[in-house]
Amino acid sequence: MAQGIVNKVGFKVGATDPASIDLSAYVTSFTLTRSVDSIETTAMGDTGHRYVAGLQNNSITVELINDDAASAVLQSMNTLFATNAYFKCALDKSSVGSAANPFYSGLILVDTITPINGDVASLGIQSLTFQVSGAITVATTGTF
Amino acid sequence: MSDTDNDKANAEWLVKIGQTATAPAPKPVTKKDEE
Repeated sequence: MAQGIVNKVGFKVGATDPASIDLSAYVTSFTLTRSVDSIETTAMGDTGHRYVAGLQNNSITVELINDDAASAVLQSMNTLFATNAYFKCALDKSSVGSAANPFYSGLILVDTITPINGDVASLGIQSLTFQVSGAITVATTGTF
Repeated sequence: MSDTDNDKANAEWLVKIGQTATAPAPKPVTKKDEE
């Protein structure tokens, strides 16, 4: 894949490693944000601010159709609520891992869920943001 | 820190915070991993 729409994202969660509950079919929007703290090291003699990378500070923002079937969104999130859950995500779940399609995994703190969310004329969804606990593992081999 | 180290650190941290009882055994090294 070179350029393209984002319609093949894979997203798995679970209480054990590797994450095994595949919620991809319920994802309507997905953002993985990778970030590090910027630590200022500016000292005498510098003519501009200088920074080095600090700790990772990553997050996932996902919108999920709130399907209430077993192993779907509602029951999975209710089970994982208030725990650190394993996750795995990829730009294209159907392709093997590569530099163009890395698999990202690690832990997220499931601190917020919206088991009831919607109005009379809309599809029930969960629109969630999770902090990643610790660093992210990036794999460029294997399958999703 | 390698990716394997990160997975190990995550598992050990879950034990430390009391979410899991013991760290899972390390994944077996496959021939593919060694290449």
